[in-house]
Amino acid sequence: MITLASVADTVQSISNTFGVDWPMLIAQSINFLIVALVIWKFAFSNILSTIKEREKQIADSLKNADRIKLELEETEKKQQETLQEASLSAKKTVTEAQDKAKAFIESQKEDARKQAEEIVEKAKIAMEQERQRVLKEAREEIASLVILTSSKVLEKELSEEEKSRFSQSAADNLNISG
Amino acid sequence: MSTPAKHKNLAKRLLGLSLNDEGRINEASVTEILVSLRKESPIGLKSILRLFLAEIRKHEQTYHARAEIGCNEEKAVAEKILHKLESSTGKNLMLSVERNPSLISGCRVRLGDDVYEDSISSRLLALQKSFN
Repeated sequence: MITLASVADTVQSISNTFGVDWPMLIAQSINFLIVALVIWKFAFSNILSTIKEREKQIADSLKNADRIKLELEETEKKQQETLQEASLSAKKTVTEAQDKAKAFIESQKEDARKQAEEIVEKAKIAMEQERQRVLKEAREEIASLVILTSSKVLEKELSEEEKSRFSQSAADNLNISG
Repeated sequence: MSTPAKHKNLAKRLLGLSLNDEGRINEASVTEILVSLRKESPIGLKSILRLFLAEIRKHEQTYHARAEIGCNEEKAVAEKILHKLESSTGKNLMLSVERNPSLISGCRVRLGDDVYEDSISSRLLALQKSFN
């Protein structure tokens, strides 16, 4: 009680010292409260809701940004993987193509070599046949010439006596079957 | 029997009538047959005459040998050939001889379808064939 009285005294002394007009103070306080309420009601709440909405939008945007960043990273990662895969695939394809090209070239070389061998072999056979034909013709020609010459020489050189002797001998030696 | 077969048989029978006792063609008999055929003038006379001629030639070749000789002494060689032919066939044969210088020397004998030859030209020909 004593304490309460001392506080009231203190307030009384302060108000006396600073010249506080209590009714005015109360009226102003009420006015302030009314104004504050009106402002709160019609201005602050809208602003706050807008701010909250903005905050939410910003938060969403940040979230989206994070998500997009993550997605981008993921996409970049996937892209890298795809690129690596594509690179590997391309390398593999190129290697296969090179191998196939090498095999094809080797096959073509082998075919060409075989064809060349066949051509050479055929040419050899043809040459041999031609050589044999020429030799045969030459042999026949030489034989024909030798025989012709021999017959001419014999016809000229054999005397009638020799011809007669040969003819009689031939008649004796005729192999006549009965 | 068909007409060609009849003609052939007739030609064979005419040939039989043309032979003498030795089995050789008798010229007089042949002449007589030809006169008779001309007189009778049977159907197909031309064909009969052709077949008769073929039969005569064929039969003549069985006893008539032909020799070609490549030297001037034809007589001695012909005698040897005839003796050889008759002793080999056992038949009494005729031999006509002619000189053939292309043989150079030696002889070629034809009797029927057979040809016997031993001449320088035939030996040279055989030699030429052996080279080929």
